[in-house]
Amino acid sequence: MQVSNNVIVLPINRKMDPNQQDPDAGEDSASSKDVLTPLIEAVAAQRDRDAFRQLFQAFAPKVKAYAIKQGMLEHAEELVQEVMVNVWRRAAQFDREKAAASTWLFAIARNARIDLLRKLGRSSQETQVETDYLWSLPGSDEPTGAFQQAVIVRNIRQSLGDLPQEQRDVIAKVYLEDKSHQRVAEELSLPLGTVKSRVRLALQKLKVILQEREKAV
Amino acid sequence: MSQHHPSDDILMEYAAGCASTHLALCVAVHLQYCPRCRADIQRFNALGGEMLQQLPQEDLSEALFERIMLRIDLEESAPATPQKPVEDLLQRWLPDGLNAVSWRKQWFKVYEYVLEVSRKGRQRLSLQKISAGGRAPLHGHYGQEVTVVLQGGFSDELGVYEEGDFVIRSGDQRHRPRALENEDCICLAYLDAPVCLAGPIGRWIERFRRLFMPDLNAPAS
Repeated sequence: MQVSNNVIVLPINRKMDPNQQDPDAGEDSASSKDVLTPLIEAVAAQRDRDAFRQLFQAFAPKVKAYAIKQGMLEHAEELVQEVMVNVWRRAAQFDREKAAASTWLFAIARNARIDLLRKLGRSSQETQVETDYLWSLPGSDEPTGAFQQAVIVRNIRQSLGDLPQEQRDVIAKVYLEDKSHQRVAEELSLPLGTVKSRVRLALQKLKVILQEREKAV
Repeated sequence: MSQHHPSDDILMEYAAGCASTHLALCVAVHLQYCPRCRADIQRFNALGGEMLQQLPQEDLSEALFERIMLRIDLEESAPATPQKPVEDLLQRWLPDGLNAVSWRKQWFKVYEYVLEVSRKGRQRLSLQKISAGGRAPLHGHYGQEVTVVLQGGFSDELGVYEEGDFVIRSGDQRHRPRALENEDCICLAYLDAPVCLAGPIGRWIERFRRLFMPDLNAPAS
């Protein structure tokens, strides 16, 4: 299967970069990633309120920043509430074999944002299907292994800093400001093709897309 | 495994959560068929996770954590509602499966079953069926047409599509889909604006339609 081929490529590429460490080594001063996993697991296994408070302290301030970027200033703490309640509710579904903690938390925050916008009647087109079906959380899929998850995240984290600002900006607008490529192009007064090729270059550097392949029409 | 996938920018907009709910539905249906795109989405989600982690910390109101715990305590004391499993995404419309749909005939060998229509009637989510060997009329699009093949397959001027394939056609791409010979073809289709009939009779019909829907922009042809 193509999926496993793709994933095997990553560790080989890593060896070419002397700065990269073994993701299983754990020490990672650059971020709190490795702290989040045991906290979520403690919430899942023992309904550990102390762990939940630490998780809240690490993650909730970023969710509020996310809400503000998304133009939801007046609902920012409402979103924080929704996200944290969902983290508590769904902690048992978290599986470190299937997704990195940061990835899982992002999916929870994204879905809560979409859901809140839908409840506020702000989404433009509506379907009856619930948000969590339209955007299923990581974990409903076959596991790819904790090691590979860590490699994916590490690749992205280490290369994000090296991206040219213009590529980074476009990705930030799509992920954090709810803007389609089309809207980003309008905002920056650039042709849509230019925006798309910036994103494509960035995604290749980040190894989010793994190989040049036939473009879907 | 399907051969036609959403483009990278659609996958990214989906993962970022800035796709419309209808486009998201089409992508989600494709994902059910396609392990390759599921793996792609995991990496797009990981990118989202990183973007979120790199945001600055915003100050929170003092009592926020306590308010959250209050809500959690309330929920914990209530009897838990079991989590519904992620079933077939289209099940709410098709409790008895694709074979029990009451189709409405649109054209020779072409049928439609409408799932959702927007208030002004421009956007339309529907199932479309072309009987084995049948052909839809030649048409272009006022907007975008997203199609996911649910059963059988079809071909048009640009390719051959089978179960799970994800296809987008827009204004300048006129096509005449034809079901494969051996099986009825059923697709999930989402139109963000009506199709635009082409051909000598079709163009004549379209002239009248634009009288009633003046906001339609004629597609480039």
